[in-house]
Amino acid sequence: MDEITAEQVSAAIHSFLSEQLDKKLEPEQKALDKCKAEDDEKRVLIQEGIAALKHKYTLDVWMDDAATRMASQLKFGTHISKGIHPDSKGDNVNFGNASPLPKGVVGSQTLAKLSLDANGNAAALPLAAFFDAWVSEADNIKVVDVIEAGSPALAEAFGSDGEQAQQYVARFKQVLANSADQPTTHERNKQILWPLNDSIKGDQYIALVPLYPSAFTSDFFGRVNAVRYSEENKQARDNRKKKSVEQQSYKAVPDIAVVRLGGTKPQNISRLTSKQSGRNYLLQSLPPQIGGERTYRLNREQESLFSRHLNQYAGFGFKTLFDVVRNEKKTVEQRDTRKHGSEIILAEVLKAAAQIQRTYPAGWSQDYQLSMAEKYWLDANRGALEGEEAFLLARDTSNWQQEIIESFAHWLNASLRAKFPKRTAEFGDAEFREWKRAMEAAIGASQRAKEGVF
Amino acid sequence: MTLKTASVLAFNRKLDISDGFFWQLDSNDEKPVASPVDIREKSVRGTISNRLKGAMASDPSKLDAKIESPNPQTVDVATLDHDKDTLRVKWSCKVLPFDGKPSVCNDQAYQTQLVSVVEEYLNDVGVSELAKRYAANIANARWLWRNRLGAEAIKLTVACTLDGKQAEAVIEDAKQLSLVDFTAQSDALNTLATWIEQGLKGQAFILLDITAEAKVGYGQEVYPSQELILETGEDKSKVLYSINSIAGMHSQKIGNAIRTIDTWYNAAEFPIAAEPYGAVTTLGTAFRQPKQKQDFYSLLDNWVLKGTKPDLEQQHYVMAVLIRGGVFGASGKE
Amino acid sequence: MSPVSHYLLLNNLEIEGANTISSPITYGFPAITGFLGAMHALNRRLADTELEFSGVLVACHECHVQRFRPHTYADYSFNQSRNPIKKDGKTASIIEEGRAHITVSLVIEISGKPRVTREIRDSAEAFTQRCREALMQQRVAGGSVHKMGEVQLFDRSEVGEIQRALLPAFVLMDARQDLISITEALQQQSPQATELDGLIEVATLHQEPDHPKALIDQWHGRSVKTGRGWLVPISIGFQGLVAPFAAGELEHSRNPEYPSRYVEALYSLGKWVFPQRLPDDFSQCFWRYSQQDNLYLTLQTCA
Repeated sequence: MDEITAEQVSAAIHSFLSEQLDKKLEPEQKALDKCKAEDDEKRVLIQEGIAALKHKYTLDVWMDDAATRMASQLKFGTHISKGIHPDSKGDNVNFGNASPLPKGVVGSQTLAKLSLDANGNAAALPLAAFFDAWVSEADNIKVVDVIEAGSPALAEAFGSDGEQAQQYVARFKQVLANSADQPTTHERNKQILWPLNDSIKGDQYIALVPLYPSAFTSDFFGRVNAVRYSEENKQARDNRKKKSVEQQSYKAVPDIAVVRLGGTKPQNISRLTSKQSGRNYLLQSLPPQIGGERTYRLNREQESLFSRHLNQYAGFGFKTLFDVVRNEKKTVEQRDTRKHGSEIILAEVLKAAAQIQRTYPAGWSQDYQLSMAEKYWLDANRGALEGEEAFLLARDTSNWQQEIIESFAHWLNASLRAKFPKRTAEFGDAEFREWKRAMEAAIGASQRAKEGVF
Repeated sequence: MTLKTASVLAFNRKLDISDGFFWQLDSNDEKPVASPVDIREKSVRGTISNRLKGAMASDPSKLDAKIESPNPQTVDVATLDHDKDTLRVKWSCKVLPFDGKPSVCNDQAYQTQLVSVVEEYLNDVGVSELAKRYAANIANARWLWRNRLGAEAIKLTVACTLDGKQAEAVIEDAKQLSLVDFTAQSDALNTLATWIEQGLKGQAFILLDITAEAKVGYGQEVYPSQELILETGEDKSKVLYSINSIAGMHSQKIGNAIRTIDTWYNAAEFPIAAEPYGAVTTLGTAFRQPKQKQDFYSLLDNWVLKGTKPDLEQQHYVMAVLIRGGVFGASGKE
Repeated sequence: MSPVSHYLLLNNLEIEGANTISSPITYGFPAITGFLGAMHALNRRLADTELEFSGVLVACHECHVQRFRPHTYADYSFNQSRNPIKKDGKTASIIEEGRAHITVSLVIEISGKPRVTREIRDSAEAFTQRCREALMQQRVAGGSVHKMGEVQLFDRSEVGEIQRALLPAFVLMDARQDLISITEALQQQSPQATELDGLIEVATLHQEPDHPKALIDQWHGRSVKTGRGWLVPISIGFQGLVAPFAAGELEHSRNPEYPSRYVEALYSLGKWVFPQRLPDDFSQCFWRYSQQDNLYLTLQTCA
């Protein structure tokens, strides 16, 4: 703060006020330009309006209105209750001066500077914009910082009368502190009971009340937009469709979801929310999707589960595996990353099998063309039906699991060879054994688990 | 100190209903393997029926141009396969103990009074009337909504595991049961009502598995829930609900049918869902206006705060809204 | 705390209506606090057993977010449910929520005095049945359980069996180290990059031309995730924003009997790992509550 001078503060206030005034004057000026020469009465009215506006945005007049009316109509904060639920009447909090977060943990301190948010009467929101205006971007100082530092020398800049100016700053400081006598949350705020040591026996809990970090999320919104919509990124993306242009890489941030806070009235939530029309971005956080969107269905004619139809069903796993194989550079890492792709495929196969086992009625396999081993696997309860004693006996005595394991390994290797015809040598016995091991490990489980897939 | 409503007050739902999923089969197949009902897209010629905005509204030539080249719109549709004539819908309902204890309440004095009001109702009146009505709405397949209309017959099975034994209540044809009155009696209905009552009283953990098989005809259209989508884009005007490509009906929609038991509002001609203001979305009307003091909040406040017990019928209504669950403190009231 | 003696496997819980908005900047799989909360609620219902449930392993089989986008390049929005109309017959305004139907398996670490752990081992069937019923009657991650597979009690030596029983699924693991190293790499290019940019980088797909004269279909995608496993941004707990309030001090608190505190969510990276590739030290797979100063975290290291 020491590096800031009263002149800088004064300049910041002045430029804020003239910006506000210009915004208001623009429509008036247009009306004046349109006004016909003979329409004196109207012109006088407009000119009076302009004079009134100019008066309103003089330093002392505006600051007085700000300190008396506007300041009482707004609640300030970096974290707001209405972002949690529009009907909440709970407190906002102005967060600052916190200890740093552990490495690898992201929160408000991750940002060098938080904007100041506010909600309440929308007509008073310019005061929040004023607090949030830069005094010196290079020094990371905003008007709000000057107020909170409370240096009398700098406070002079807030009015032409020194004493009056000190009072304005004191008043601003008071509203920014949000120091309501009675801290108040609301039915619509969420609450999480957090167990402390000896929670159950000793009844030790703390109720955590999360507030919406609108300062943080509006910064985040800006960062994502900067990645997506920067001029160079847009240019590179558009160029991709063009021929004979030097191509540059570009970035996409796919799979984002948008939540609109406040529906059609984001201004009811807060100033920052309103600035982005209530839109907030959420990053996707999903596990690999096991199996396609479709339920796996057998048809009566197919001779094995391990058919092209299953390749489609496990399309996601295959895409992952093929990407890995395509991008492989070092053979040391190869086995390991391939495993990752093949695991998704294995999961998809087990899921398809489980779907059949759970939704088809016992005995369904009687008029299907599958191999007996696969029937023992997929129609496990058929043996319990009347007249199926032979099925039961054969299932219990044959080593059908081995056949399934080999079918799986064979199918996976064949799929890889078909995809990479020039590299068939890479998908030989060693890989075959690797896929077998993975399937064997999966089988070991379900012999114990009653609802397992084997 | 005078008693006032807790500023934070909420109830969990006591009939915890799952989504329903749509399967299909052929009633003439002796050993049918049910397959899922899928959603597909269908193109329709868009017609201009939405409210026009700005330039479009003021400039007839722009409107003409729009009418001449309508957007090719798509909508979702669900039909049975051509060799399947029966729609099978499955869902489950957990019946949780109802003892009047809110899930959230920040005023101990209020909670004590509320719980004693509910206990008195449970002791003096009991939940058998409510249970009977919930059972009737499961059995009459009201919850199939539009799918019920076109069905020739609906066989309904409710399975429940009690003391480790699986029991079943079977309704041979749900279409024969009334949607308007709750007086019908049968063994199956009584069994079902008893299960629900046991569950609400906390005498047993009740999980009902409901399966309806509605014979609607080969290849006929069926009606899953429509999704409420905020940003559909220009090309699609109707999205139906499905998961894993299996068409579904939202639990809220089923739940609304099951709690359509309120025949106790003023000049009632048909049952409506137990809701705080007797709101019926499809009719755009709320049948229990606070002016008449027959809405949930007026009745509950009089009962709990002032000790004025309403008529028996309104007692049922108040309890049905508590069983429905929701946020009833300061912000619940409009 | 007594050492872990058993693991309780809750297999294939089908949860409808779970909260998919896991934090102010993430969505998809529900926040870990939702599963820790369910574990703790279950522990409270079984308080008479004197067992302690100290951590939970979370494995996801399926996660269907109720969302829609008109085409692949658009952002998603969440499918909403219609609220009842208001008393004047008008439609109530929509307060956006995000829901998912998920199928998960949970493994709970159990410890207790030798006498009580012996007791549950000897009456495993009654114990697991009790857990099953209790779980069906409570909410998990904001949704409700409508179906579940086996509930099984394992001795702590039976880790291999548990891992196989989790198939097919992926287990959520802490990947804070990956966020640190991804951010450090970013900072080599632009020194002012923060760990928040690191999270965005994980969600970013770099479209790169195969060569400067590449045609429209001669491009490939590159992600910082390649080779690092299946990384996702997650919420990992909260930090206090102001000092805690004493019990009864915060008006309209739901639980005036406990102290309360305004907090914000904290974020990091998680990684979805195949059950057969979990770390050898099985205890590292369990999420636990941790509180230190103003931090309320869900961690996989022992507190």
